[in-house]
Amino acid sequence: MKHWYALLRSLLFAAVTTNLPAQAVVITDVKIINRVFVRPKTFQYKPGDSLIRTDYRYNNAIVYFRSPLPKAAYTYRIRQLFAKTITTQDSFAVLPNLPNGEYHFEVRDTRQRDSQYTRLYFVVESPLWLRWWFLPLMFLYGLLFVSAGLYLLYRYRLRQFLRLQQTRDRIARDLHDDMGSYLSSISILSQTAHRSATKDPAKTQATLDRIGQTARQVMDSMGDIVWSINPDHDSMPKVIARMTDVAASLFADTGIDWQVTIAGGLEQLRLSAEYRRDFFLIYKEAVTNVARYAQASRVRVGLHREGNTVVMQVQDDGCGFDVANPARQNLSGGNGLRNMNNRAALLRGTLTIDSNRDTGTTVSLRFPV
Amino acid sequence: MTRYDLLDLIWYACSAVILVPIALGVRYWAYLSVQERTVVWFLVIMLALEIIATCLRYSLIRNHFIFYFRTLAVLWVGVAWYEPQINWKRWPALLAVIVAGGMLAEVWFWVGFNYINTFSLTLAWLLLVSYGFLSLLQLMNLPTAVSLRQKPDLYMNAGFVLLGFFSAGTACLENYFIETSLDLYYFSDTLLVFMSATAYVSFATGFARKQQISDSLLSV
Repeated sequence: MKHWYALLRSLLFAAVTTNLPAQAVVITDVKIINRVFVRPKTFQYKPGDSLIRTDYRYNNAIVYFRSPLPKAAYTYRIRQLFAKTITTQDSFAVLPNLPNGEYHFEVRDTRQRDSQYTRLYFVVESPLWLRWWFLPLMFLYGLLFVSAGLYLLYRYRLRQFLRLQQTRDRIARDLHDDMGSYLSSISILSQTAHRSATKDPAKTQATLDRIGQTARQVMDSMGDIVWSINPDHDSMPKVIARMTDVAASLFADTGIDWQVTIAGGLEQLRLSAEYRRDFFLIYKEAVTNVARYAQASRVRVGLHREGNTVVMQVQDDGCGFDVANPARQNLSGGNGLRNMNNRAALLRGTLTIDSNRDTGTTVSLRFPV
Repeated sequence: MTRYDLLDLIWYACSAVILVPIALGVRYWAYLSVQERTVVWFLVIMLALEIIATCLRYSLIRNHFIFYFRTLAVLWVGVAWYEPQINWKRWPALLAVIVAGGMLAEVWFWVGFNYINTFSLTLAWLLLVSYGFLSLLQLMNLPTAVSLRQKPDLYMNAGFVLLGFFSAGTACLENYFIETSLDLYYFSDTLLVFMSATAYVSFATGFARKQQISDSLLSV
């Protein structure tokens, strides 16, 4: 009895539905679901909308639909994704993980064979990194970094070239100024000695002595130039050792009581070739003047720091001199004090000379760190 | 061991490099100027934030709020380190305040709490890069008597430029990569951690150089 009833009911339903006009399935709602790690966002489907625009982060969709007829069965398809149509009695379709692109979702009631498909158009926008401009943009960003790095490298190399050029200029200047004049003197003196060799042996002897003295000066100056450009001597202990050597060689046979006092806190300093050379030559000129002209019995050399300033003092108890109008005691020279002042200016420092007949001379050099 | 485990190991190894400048900074603390000490503090803060973020990650607690503190640390070091160096008067501080305010607005009105503040974080790193680049240019303009290799600032600025550039690039896309492509996220994160390690070495060199020449450096 039960089977008969079911058969009759289905026959009646078939007769009714075949005589009804075909009606389209209605899409009632669409839910858009975010991917993992993506912050959910609210999406509201307005009935009648045929276009769903979403992006890669929200690429899961559930489409709800309804047939006007009861007991409907549905067929839906997405031609770009599914090889076959899908038939179901559920009134929704789950579309998970939609790839980027454009899709036509189509659904109709299976029982209304001549009904039209109801279409929903999906546009899933691709992520930024799949857009055409992403890679060129990243390339430009990297290019910006490389360009900035290359520009800085160019500036650095240009600067290093200028530094090298200045060092070469300085060495050339030193060689010309010091070595050139000394070697010219030796050349002239040797000619003089040659001419007077047979006529005036005493004069020849004196000339040869001067040649020897000048040659020693050449060696001394050459030693200073080589020492100043050697980077191994950049550290302050090396400078101090050189200062002590110079004082020892100058005052060794003079009977002058000399002492070099170095305060703490200077060991960490490193002086550039230029700074080291100017500083050292000021010191050397000062102690040489003491040894040659001061007639001193005692010399004190002090080096210490006052905050960011290095202070060097060369103090003697000699005869002193008129600072405003120094007597030219060396006929071939006379540039010593002027050179000291020039070098102090190059150090951005100050040189003060305090001298009187009673207390001797104090040369003070202060230059900033 | 999966590929991601290997990336994790690389990440930990490169992140550990930050300990080198921190250790050197602490060791030579007495030689460092006030500004250089801010760099040490900055590195310590970055390390602490990373540790906290990792702990939260392992505890399965969302840790994106850490980015707010990272942004503030970047803005702070930009002002503390660069304001005395670049001749912009109070502009670095003003810009930092503006970006910090922007961060609040971004979090409050836009992304929501505990979400990455992409915009302000990227801006903060870009500011740091700009300051670093300008400072490097200023260093290049120093008299040629000055040896740049002897100046710790060179290494600090180079470190900040390197760190800032790659951090800005990553910060800009990190959130998006997390949401859309974990592979790209891992790629950018690994690249960043490599470059960060290089930057940390640069900082360490700066501290070591500072110790060598003491805090008072003659223009060489």
